[in-house]
Parts: sequence; structure tokens; C-alpha cells
Amino acid sequence: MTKKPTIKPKKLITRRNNLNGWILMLPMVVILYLFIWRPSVMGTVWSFFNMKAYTVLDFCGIDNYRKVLTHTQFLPTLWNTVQYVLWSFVIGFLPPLFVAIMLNEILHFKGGFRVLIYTPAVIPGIAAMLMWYYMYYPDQTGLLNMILGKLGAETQQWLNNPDFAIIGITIYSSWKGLAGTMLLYYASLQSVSVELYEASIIDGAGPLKRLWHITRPAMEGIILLNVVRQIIGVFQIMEQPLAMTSGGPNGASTSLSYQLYQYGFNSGGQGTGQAMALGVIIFLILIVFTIFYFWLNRKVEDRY
Amino acid sequence: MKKSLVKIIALLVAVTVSVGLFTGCGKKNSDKNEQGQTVISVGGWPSKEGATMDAFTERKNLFETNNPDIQITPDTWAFDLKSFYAKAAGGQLPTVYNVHFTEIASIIDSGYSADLTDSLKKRGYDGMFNQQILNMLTKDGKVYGFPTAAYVLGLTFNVEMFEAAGLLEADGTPKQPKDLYEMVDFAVKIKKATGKPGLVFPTAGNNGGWIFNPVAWSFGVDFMEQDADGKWKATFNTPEAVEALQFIKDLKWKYDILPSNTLINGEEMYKTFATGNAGMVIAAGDMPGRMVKYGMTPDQLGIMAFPAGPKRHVTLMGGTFTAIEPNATKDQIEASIRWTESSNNFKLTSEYKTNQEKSIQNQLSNNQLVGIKNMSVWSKDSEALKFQHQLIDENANSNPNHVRLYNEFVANCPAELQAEEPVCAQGLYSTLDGCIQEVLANKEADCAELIAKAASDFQSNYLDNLTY
Amino acid sequence: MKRFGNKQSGVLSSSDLKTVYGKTLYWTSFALLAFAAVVAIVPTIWTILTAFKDTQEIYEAFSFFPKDMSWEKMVSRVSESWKNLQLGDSFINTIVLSLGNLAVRIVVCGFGGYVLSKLKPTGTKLIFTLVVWTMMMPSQIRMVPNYIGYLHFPFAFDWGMGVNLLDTFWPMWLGSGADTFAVLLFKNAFDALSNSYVEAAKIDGCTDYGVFFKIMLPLTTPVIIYESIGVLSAAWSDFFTPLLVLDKNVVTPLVIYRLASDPEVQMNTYFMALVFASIPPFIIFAIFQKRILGGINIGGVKG
Repeated sequence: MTKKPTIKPKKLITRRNNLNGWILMLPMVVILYLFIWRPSVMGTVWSFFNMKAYTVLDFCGIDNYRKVLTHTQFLPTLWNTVQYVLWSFVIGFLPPLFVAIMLNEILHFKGGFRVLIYTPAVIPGIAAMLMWYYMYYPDQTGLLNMILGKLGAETQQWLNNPDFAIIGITIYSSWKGLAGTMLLYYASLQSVSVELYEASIIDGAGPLKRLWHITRPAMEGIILLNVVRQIIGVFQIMEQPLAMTSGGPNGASTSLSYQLYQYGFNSGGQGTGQAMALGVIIFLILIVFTIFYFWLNRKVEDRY
Repeated sequence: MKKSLVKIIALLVAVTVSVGLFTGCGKKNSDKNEQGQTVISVGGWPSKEGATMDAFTERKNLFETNNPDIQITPDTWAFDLKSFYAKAAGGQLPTVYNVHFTEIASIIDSGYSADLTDSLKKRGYDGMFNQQILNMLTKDGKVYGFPTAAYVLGLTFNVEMFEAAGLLEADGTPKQPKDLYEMVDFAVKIKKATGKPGLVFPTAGNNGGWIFNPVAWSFGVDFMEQDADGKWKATFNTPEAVEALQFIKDLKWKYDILPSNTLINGEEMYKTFATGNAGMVIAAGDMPGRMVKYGMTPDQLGIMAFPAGPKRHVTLMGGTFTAIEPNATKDQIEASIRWTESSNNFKLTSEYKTNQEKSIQNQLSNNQLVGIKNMSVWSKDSEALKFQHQLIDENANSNPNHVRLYNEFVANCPAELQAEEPVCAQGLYSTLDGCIQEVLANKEADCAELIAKAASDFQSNYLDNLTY
Repeated sequence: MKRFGNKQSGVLSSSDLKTVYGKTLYWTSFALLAFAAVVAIVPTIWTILTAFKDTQEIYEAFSFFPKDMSWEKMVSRVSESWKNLQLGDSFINTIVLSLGNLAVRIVVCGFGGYVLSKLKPTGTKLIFTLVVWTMMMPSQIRMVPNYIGYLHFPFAFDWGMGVNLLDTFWPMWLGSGADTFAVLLFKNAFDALSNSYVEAAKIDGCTDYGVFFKIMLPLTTPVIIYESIGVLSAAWSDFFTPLLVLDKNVVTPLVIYRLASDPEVQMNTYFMALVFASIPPFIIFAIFQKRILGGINIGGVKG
């Protein structure tokens, strides 16, 4: 082995680095091209084409878009999707935050609580969805109705109730996702400085005041970021209606993404073009949130 | 040296990623193997070990002994719409596989099914199949399938609940409701006698629309028709359809004979019935296989004729057929037909006998009801059919009177048989599911309004969007 | 009272805990956490208990606990269900799938992140911008085109040359490398290492190769572990891509999804399948428990 002379930082970009760099990066670029970049572009292009199952036929203008947008279920489905987002905010926003704060304060059985509260996150998603499907079962074999029955109350339809289906799915998602979000908040609570708390004790501020004036400002950024990410994520909900309700009852829990799946893979090859058109529509709706997220991300990072 | 080390890693990565792709996904086998045997792959093979798998393996061994020029390759893919188009486009369909009549349009219209006209003619099948079934498999004079099983919808009942309601004769024969309204009377009696719902009617997962179809036909409804330009029009915004929907609504609000759960998909319907939570269900002769899961025993299950409606006496006919992949060679088509014949034959061969006996033994060991004689796909009686019926009689594991009325209904066919609607059937069902759910959930629902909306939704969401 | 005096100041300080008000707050929190813990585990416990019931019992006796909880009964339920469900093959397949996913993820995204951070060849800026902008792109837009791509890989159109990836693990394996979030994590980890560190090592006689494996890689271990936990658990959870790609019941999540509509599987056995399918992820959790619950410190992702 011969010794190389010291390389100055400027010289890092050399021909050799160029070649080595591209060789090492090639797998990533190829895979991103094949699995993300090209399909995104082709999805947009093909949304203007007639499709016969998975074969591209001829250009058809905005026909696919017209079919998607004039489908009598489109607006209800869009509204369902918005409902998923709203309910996931109402049901899923506060619990992880409070659990994180309380866990941070508690001394007794702290490790035990952490493990127990984390178990839902460990169960495989599909198994958990089907578990909850049976918990919500509309007769007394379902856990919830079994409990109601024991209490002498009337059994409920749960996921079979069009007004409850979305809420029911959201309760499941919040149950499953609580631990992950909670850990995120918990980690950021560790960075709130102890001195600030101690100073406020000397000022005579009570616990709730401290929560509001010290903890809250320190957490705001990460909370906001997480909420926007949640909106983007929940807007794309698909697996839960697929596994738990098949989008029912009577379409009451069908989300845009689930509708896309139906167009793409369950329409006897008739809806492939519409599936891609709907994909573009979802993309256009979400791009707004995505740009906002990046803007926010930069702002939050600047602050800390 | 240093340079090359980084390069070697990088190249290794690149090579594994790109070259590795081309292993394990070989192209389709050619139709002959090295021994000159014709190779066909057979779909729907079980993936789990057990009695069913053993039965398939025995059938394969027997077939290969009888046909030394053919080799069978098992393929566990069973027809489903989702993967069908992808498989077909990728040339990965098994040579021969079974499909429900429901999916006929999707496979034939897309051109992914082999034309069997000449091969069937050559093997002497002219005029052998039930013409009505054959028509479903025919397009532009060409036949695209080999029908293997058929059924008609009947009325399935819980023997114990019928007995409790005084609807069972001493010999086990049930009273037969003559029309749909008498069926409702029976349900009321069952509810009075047992406290359990007299009937379970599906409402979700497209099953509601599916069962509603024959009911509506009985009321004189036509769901769609094709005009001179080939465009399909929804034609069910009629008083008859409103009357049929009103009939469903009355089941709940006038007679109160349905379960309190108003969202019932196919599985839930079977479950409700099989766990003794409903006295009757409109279902076909394939019920026994589905009852096992919920522990219903053969002597609890009975079946009879589908009741007539106010306008027509009509019932739905369905079944399965064998399709052959479009790229199959003449030899492969011939081999596939011979494979199909090994357990679905007009002639009584020893192979057919053995396979039928095995199949009955399999049902008995699963504790399924044996005794139902399903509709025949053949146009006339045959030795093979006689043998099959004799086998069922000999092995009946329950009182044959429980199913006698259905067997007679199938054999004599007092009712018209009608196949599913020709296009967008699933879309129609899902649209009708909505109507049924609404009238059962809402006492004030306006049937006329719902039907009008369903017809226009179905037209704009499905029929107007047909591209091929 | 245990350790109250030593409590580090937070929202509740040790002095608060001497007052009735503070104690009430503390024990209310404790009670609420206990409630959260119960809500978190009851569904799981119920599933396990139901798996030990008889099928008839599920439909007739509506009780939380099985009637017969003897040891023999439990053992026979487990062994019978295992025999009945035949999940063994799917378990092995899922392990193969997850290890392949992990290898591709680490190699592709690790090298990608390294190059973007350290070697920076011409064009880095363009690639980096593309990576960042595709990070938050909804996957729906490419669902169908991706599927079409699997049919004649690597071509977008059928030119009669590509290979059909359906029914193989390749779409999942390769797709595992298409994770822009992981690329950025690796890039950030490498960014944290200053170039002077690298140069110092080189002066000491380390080769490029040595620098990468002796210095760079060990320092990105937290990211690798984070990715390992994520990728390994996801293979036991994701059923959607396998649902599209695989026909045969080959990976556990797909088997679980399909068993739900299998008329031959009785309800108690089905609940047992849910239990079986959850065991591997719990093993992964047990191994990495400290890392997972400790909050994995991998730094933020900079866009």
C-alpha cells in the first residue's frame, strides 16, 4: 500500500470521486427511477389514456377525469376522506401528548407503563385491524357488544353503522399509532431545560401554569409538524377500510385511496385509467399540504 | 488497490441488483417436456396439506397413469379478478383453471380466453351441454369454456326451527311456500315459535343486490337492455322494481322477520343462518360446504324450491366453468379438456367413478351434508349423472326428505332459469345494496325515489363508462 | 413515598408533590396512565383468550375468559391450530423477505446517503433535490404504474423483453430501496462526520476503503439499527404490496388477511392465527426494546 498525499477539501471533487460516486449511487438512482420517478410521471401521462386492464390504448383527453369526478360517489368519498382527517385530529391528537407528558412526570411503574402502552405498536398492522374488526363485531361475539351485553345495554352496530364506521376506524388507528407519536413527544420533552422549570418554581408558578408557559412553547414546533404529517398520512388512508369494512357500509367508509384501489384492481380492468386520474387528483390535493410541511419544517428547524 | 476495492463493492452491488432480477422468474414452459409429454398447469391447486390436497394429488396420479402423454403441473393460483388481468398480460395464467359464471364477461370480452369451439366439437360435445348454460359461454358463435358445475338458487331452511314452527311433515318433508308472500308467512310463524328471525336477507358486499335480482325478476323487473347502437340502458326505474323494493322494506317494518343487524354480507348471512339465528335463507346447493365453519350439522340443514313471485316464477342460475389460457397450443387444449373430463364427464369412465367417490368421501369426512343433487350441465340424462345421483343417495348422511323438494325443483324445473345480468353485474349489485340498506335502516325511506336514483346512478356510474 | 424527594423538576417538582394539590395531580396522572395501559392491552388479551375457546363457545357463551383454562386444553389448542394453519412456510418466507428488504435498504440507501454527503459527484444537487421532493409524494399516484412496471420489468411498456416480477419477492425487495426518508437519514448521519476527521485518518495511513468501513460505517450504526427495526417489523405487518403482487399464500400478513374469508378455518383457530402472526414482531421488540423505547436518537431530517 502506498501512502496518499493529504487531500485538501477543495480537491474532494475529483474525477475519481465522480466515477466512484456515481457507481456507488447508481443502485439508488436506478431504483428511485424505476419505483418512484418514472411511475409518478407515467401515472400522470397515462391518466389521459384509455386503458384496457393494464395495457395502454389510446389518448382520450380528460375522459378519465370526467368519469372520476362525475361518479356519484366521488363527493361523498372526498368528504369521507376529510372526515377521516378531522376525526383523527379529534380522537388522536391529545392522547399521545398527554400520555407523553404524564409518563415524563411519573416515578412509579414508569418502565412497565412504557412497555404496556407500546404493545399496540408491536402487533402487526393487519393482525391488529382484524382483531379490532372482531372487537367491533355487531353481535355478542364482539368484545364491545359483549361488554355492553354484560352491562345490560343494547348491542350496537359499530362498524356497520354508517355514522360510526369512520370514527370506529379512527379509534383503531389512534390506538395503534398512539405509542409511536407518544415516543416522539416524549423524546422532545427530554430537551426542555430543567433550569426553566426550576426558575418558574422560584417565581411561584403552579404545575399547570408551568405546563402552559414552559412545556407548551417548547413543544409547539414538533406538535405542529406532527399534525401536518398526520393530515398528509391520514388523507391517504386505505388499508384500514380495505381490511376492516371493505369501504362500507354502503360506501360510508370509502376513502379516496381505497376508491383508487377499487378502480385499479377490482373493477374488472375497466377502471385502470380512472385509478391513475384519481391518483393525480389526490396528488394535487396533497401537494398543498406538502409544501406547507416543508416550509414549516424549515421554520421549526431554524428555531431550535 | 484502494480504488478497486471501492469499485468492486460498488460493482457487486450493481450486479446483484440488476442481474439478480432475472432469476426465479422464468418464462412460460413450452407445451412439451423432454419426454415429449404435453405439459399443462392446473390452477386452483390447494396450497395447504390435508384431505383436499390429497384428493388433488390422487386425481393427478390417476390421470397421469391413464394419460401417459400428459404431465400435470400444479398451480395454486385460483381465479380472482384482481390478479387475472395482470397474470393474463404477463402470460402467467395456468393452462386450465375454474371460473364462476359471474366472471364470464370479464374473461371472454377481454380476449384472454382460448376458443374451444373446434376442440369441443372434435371430442363429441355437440349438443351435449345444456343450451342455456352453453349460451352464456358463447360469444359470436365461439365457445370459450367447458361448464363443470351449475346451481340454481333455492330456499334453505333450518330443520329444527321449521319443526318448531310446525312447518315440517312427519317424514321430514318441509312445507313449500308457493310464493314469496307465503315465504313471509312462514318466517312470521318461525319467529312466533322460536323468537328468532324467520329469514336472513343479505344487504352488503354486493350480496344484497345479487339476491335481490331474482326477487325483482319475480316481480317482473328488467334491469337493463342494449339499444340498437350497442349502448346499454338501465331499465329498472319502474313500478315493478319499486314494488320489489317495498317487499324487502316490509320484511323489516311490516312483518319484522329480519335480524336486527341490518348490514349483512355473504359471510355474515351464512354465519347468521348456520349458527341458528335465522330460519331461512335464499341460497344455492353449495350451502353444505359453507356451513362447516360454524358447526352446523348435516341433519339441521334442508333446502327446497325458490318460491314464485307475483309476475314470474324465476330463479337465478350460476355455476363454474373451466377456461383455458389464450396461448395454449392445440395439444394443450386437448389435454386440458381431458383433465376436465376426469371429474366432469358425460360418459361413465372408471376414472370419473373413482374421482366422484373420492369427492363424496371428502365431503363426508368434512361433515358436510350429502344429499343435494345440483343442476346438471348436460342436456340429457347420462350414465355418469345416474351414477353420481346413485352415489349421493347411497351416502346421504341426513333425512333425504329435507332436500327432496329442491332436488325435484332442479330436476323438473317448474321455474324459468335466468343468468346474471350480462354487463356491470357487480356495479348493479353494489348500487342495489345501497337501496336495500336504506329501506331496512330507515322506516321513512321512499322506495320510488330510491329506485329512480339507483337507476340513474347505475347508468352514469357504470353503463356509461363501459369501454369494452 | 418512593423517591418523591429526588424528583427532577418538570411540570411537577418535588416541592409540588408535598402538597395535596400536587399529589392529586400526580396520582390522577398515574390513574390515567394505568387506564391507557389497560386500553392498550385489553384487545390483545381478549384475542389470546378467544383463541383458547371452542368455536361453539365463541357463539354461545359470551364471556371474556374461556370455560376450560386447563394446561392440557391450552397446549392442545396451540398445537392443533398450528397444525391446522400451516403457517410455518409463510414464517420462513417472511423472514427471507424481511432480510432481503433489509439488505437492499441498507446497501442502496446507505451508499446513496454516503455519496450525497461525502463524495458529491457532479449532479449531486439535482439528485438530492429530486430525492427531497419525492419524499412526501403520495404513493397513490404511482400505484397502478408501478404494478404495470412489475409486469415487464424494467420497462414501462410491454416491449416483449422485460421479466414479470409478479409472484416473486423482487417488487418488495427492490421497492425497499426506494425509500427517500432512509437516504436522508443516512446522509444526515454522514453529514455529522466532519471531513477533517476523515483526513486525519487518511494521514494516519487509512485507505478510502478503510475510512468507509472503519470510521464511517460504525458511526452510522444508530441509523442502521433504526432501519433494521423498521424494515424487519414492517415485513410482518405490510399486506398491501404482497396482496397485489403475490398469489400464493406466501407471507404471513397476507395469509392472515386471506384466512379471514377461508370457510374451512374455524373462528377460534383464526384468533390463534392472529396470535401466531404477532409473535415474531414481539420477538423483534424484545431484542431491540431498549433502543425502541429509549427514543432512537438519529437526528432530524433536513430537507
